[in-house]
Amino acid sequence: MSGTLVAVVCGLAAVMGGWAVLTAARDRRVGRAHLAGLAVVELAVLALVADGVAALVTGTRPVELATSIAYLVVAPLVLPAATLWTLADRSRPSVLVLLVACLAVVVIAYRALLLFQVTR
Amino acid sequence: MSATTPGAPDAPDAPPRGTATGLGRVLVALYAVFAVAAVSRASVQIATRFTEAPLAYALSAFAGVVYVVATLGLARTGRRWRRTAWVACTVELLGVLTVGTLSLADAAAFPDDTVWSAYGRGYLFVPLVLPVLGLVYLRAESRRPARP
Repeated sequence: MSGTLVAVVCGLAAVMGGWAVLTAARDRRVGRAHLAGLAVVELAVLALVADGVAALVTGTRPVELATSIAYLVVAPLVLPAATLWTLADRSRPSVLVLLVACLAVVVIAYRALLLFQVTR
Repeated sequence: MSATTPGAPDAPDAPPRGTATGLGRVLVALYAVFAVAAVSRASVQIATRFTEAPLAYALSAFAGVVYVVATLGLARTGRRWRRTAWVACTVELLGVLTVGTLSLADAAAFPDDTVWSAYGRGYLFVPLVLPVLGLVYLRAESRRPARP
């Protein structure tokens, strides 16, 4: 799994998380710009998942194979779930759900990198 | 959190009770993340190598169930769900403290990590902070003026 790609995902997710905090602090709601930003992060996550799947297909066998696969399955679901949730409740702090999701994406990407580094 | 937050219209018998909207959502989101993390971790552990560390993996599964129950308890409205959340958060706090202490004192019984090992060190100690936040939030909420 590409470390650069993981860094890109983490960076984008961190920026998006910061943006969510700013939005909540300025008492704004989620708008189209946020959705575009989330889409960018999600695309990066999908690229990371594709990278992981490619690694598995080409013979990389992480020691924690089942966990690695679980990470690849869960990773793309986090942001869409949080987005739907934020849109469903337009109250001010609900934007912060995006922050939680972005932090989760950072952790998932980083742990996926670690998982794919320990192979048999 | 603003008390004037416009939320979705609630059913007449279920007025908004905090966690369903607003800041409580952040807490629920955190709990949801941990519910998914703990349940998936436990499923993998139990499915692939239960015999290696039955105690640790059984506790992993238990932690997962507690997170799911806490998530539901916090996310839903109504007195019964509130009580469920209280119980789940308390069990969770006791669990992380007990398992955290045991995992440090008797490392042999915990050859593989659970979410609660070493007070949740593998998860940036969030498992230790989360039940405290949950209990503080529930307490703050219960002190708010009762619904009419």
